[in-house]
Amino acid sequence: MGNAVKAEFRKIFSTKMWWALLIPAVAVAFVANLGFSALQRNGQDTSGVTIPIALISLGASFSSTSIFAALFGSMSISGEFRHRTISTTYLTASSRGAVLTAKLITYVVMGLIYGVLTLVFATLGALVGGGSSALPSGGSWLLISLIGIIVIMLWTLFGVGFGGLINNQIAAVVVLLVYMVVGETIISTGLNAGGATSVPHYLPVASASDAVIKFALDQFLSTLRVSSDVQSQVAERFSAIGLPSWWVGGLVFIAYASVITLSGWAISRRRDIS
Amino acid sequence: MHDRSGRITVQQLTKRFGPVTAVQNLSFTVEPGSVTGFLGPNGAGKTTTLRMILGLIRPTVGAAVVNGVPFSQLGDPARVVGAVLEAQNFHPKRKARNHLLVYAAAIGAPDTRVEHVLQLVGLGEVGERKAGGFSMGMRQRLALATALLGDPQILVLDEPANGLDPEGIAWLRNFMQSFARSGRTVLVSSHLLAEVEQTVDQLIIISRGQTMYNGPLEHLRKSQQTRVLVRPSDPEKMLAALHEANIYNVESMQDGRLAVAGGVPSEQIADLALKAGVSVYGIEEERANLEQLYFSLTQGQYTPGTVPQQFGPGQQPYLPPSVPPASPPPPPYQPYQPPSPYQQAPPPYEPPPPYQQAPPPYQQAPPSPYQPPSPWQQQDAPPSTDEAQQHDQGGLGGRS
Repeated sequence: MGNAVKAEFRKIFSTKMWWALLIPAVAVAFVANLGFSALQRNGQDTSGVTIPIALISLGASFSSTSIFAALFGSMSISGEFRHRTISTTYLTASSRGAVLTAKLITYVVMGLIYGVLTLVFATLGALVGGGSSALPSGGSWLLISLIGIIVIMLWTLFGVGFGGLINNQIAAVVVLLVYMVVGETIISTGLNAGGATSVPHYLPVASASDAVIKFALDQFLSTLRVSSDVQSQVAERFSAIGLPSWWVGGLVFIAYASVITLSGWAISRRRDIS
Repeated sequence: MHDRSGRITVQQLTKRFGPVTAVQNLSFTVEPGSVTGFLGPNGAGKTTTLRMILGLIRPTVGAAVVNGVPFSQLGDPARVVGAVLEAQNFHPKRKARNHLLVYAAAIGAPDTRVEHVLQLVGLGEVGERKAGGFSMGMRQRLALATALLGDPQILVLDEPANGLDPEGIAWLRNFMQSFARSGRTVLVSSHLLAEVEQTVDQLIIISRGQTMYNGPLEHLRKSQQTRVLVRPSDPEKMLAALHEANIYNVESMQDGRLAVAGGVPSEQIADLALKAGVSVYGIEEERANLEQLYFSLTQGQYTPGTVPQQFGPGQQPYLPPSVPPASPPPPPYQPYQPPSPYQQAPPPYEPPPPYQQAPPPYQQAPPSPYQPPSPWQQQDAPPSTDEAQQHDQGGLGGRS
C-alpha cells in the first residue's frame, strides 16, 4: 500500500494540475476575504463597533475552494483513462483495490492541503483587508476551519468517485463544474418554484455549504451584541424557510460523498480496461 | 502463491461484449524460453486475449493463468509480467523519467532502476523530455522500459513493431530473442506474419477469436507444400506418363505447364519424361510461402461470397495461378492442422480434411476491405526458392 500511495503522489506532483487548480482557489480566498474585511473597516470608521465579519467570508472561501478540489479529484481516475495510463497502473499494483485505496488516501491528503492553504490565504486576506478585528475569536476560527477543511476533503473524494463513475475526464470535469457552479442553483430555483422549498437544502452543494456557512452564520450571530430575543427570532426565520442546522447539512453531505466515492470505487474495481 | 514457471495458460477463454463475441473458446499455452508469436488479422481478438491474460478484462467464460494463478493473485505482478500494450499510455505532460519513477514506486523498485531501463531502451538522453513530444518509436521504447521496470519473468507485447523504424524493429527482435534465451517468456502479438517470422519460435494463429494453429513455427514451415512445375514438349503425353506412374495430383496450367503436387521429386518427373520421350523445357520446384499459409488460415474470418468462376490471372489477388488437389499429411502432434494454402479456409471448429477435393481458388472470397494489404498480393510470380531460403536463414539460424 505504501508503494501505491507513493506512486500516486509522484503522479500528482509530476504534472501541473495540482497547483494549476490550487493557485486560483487560494487567490479567490485571499481576494474575497480582503475585500469583505475591508468593508468592515469602512463600517468601523463611522460606528466604532467591530464585528468579526470575516467569519462569513472565511466560510464562503471553503465553499469556493471546494469546486477546485472536486475538479482536481475528478481527474484522478478519469485522467488515467484519458491518457490510457490506467492499464499500467493496474498492472504495476498488487491489486485494483490497492490502487483505489491509495488514490483515496492520497486525495484525502491533497484535500487537506487545499483546505489548509485556503485557510491560510483567507486569513491573510482578512488581516490585510480588515486587520485582526475582522477575525473571529480563536475558538470560532478553529471550528469553522475544521469544518471547512473536512468539507473540502470530502469534495475531493466526491470528485475521485465521480471520475471513477464517469471515466471520461472531460465529461467528468464539465458535468461537475457546471453542476457545482450553476446546475444546482437552477434545480433549486425549479424546486422552489414548484413549492418544494425545503428540498434544495438537501442537494449536495447546498448541504455542503450549509455545513460551513450556516455554522459561520450561527457563530456570527452569537458574537453580535444583540438580544437573545433577536437571535431566537433569526433562528425561527431560518427554520421557517426550511434551512436545516449546520450539522444536518454536514451529515447529508457526508452521505453524498460516501455514496459517490464508494460507487466509483466499486465500478472501477470491476470495469474492463479495453 | 504462483509457481514461478513463467508459463501462461489460456483455457477455453471466451469474451463477449454484448452481442459481439471477441474471443471464442481459445486455449493455448505459452512456454518459457521461447518467443511465441500471437497472430491474427486485426479484430481477431488478440488484444482482448492479452488483456484477459493480464487481468484487465474479465473473461465471460474460461480462465487465463500466469505462473499457475490468475493475474490478480500474482501479488507483485510487475515482477512477473511486463506488458507493452499500446504506445499511447503516458501522460503527455509528464517527463519520461518521471513516468518511470511513478511506476518504479508502484512496483517498489529502486529509483536507480529507472536510469537502468532508460539506458537499456536507448532513451537515456531524453529522460527529461515530456512523453507527449515523443515520436512513435520513442513511445514504444518508453512503454518497453516501463514493462522492464520490475525485471519481469514474462514479457507480453501487443503489436510492438507499430511505428518502429527498421532499426528499432531489428533492435526489438534481438531484445526479445535474448530475453527468451535467458529462459524467460515472450508473447508477442502481430497482425503480420512477416513482422515476427524471423523472431518467433512458437506460433499461435487465431482468426475470429478461435485458434487456427498452435505449434512451432518450424512445423508450419515444414508443412509448406512444394509442387513441381514442369514444361514438357507434349503435355498430353507427359500427363499420360505421369498417370502411368500412378501420379494423379497433376494439373494442367494455362501456360501449358503441368503442376505436380504431392511431394513427387523433380528427378522422378524428369526420368518419366525421358522414358516417355518427352522433352522437358523447364522444371522448377514451387514452394508456398508462410504468408500464403497464414493468409489461408485466417481467411475464415470473412464469409466467402459468391464470386464468378472465371477470373483473369490479374484478378486472383492472393493465390497461385493453379490448384493442386492435395495437402500434406497432418503431423500427428498438432491439434490444429494447417490447411494447404491453396485450399479454401476451413470453417470454424473443423480441422480441414486432409485430402479435400479443393475448390478452384477463384471461389474464395475477395479480400474484405478490413484486410490489410499483404505485400505478396502484388506478386505476380509465385515466390522463388531463394525467398524461401531467405526466410529459413533469417533469425532462426541461431537455433538448432
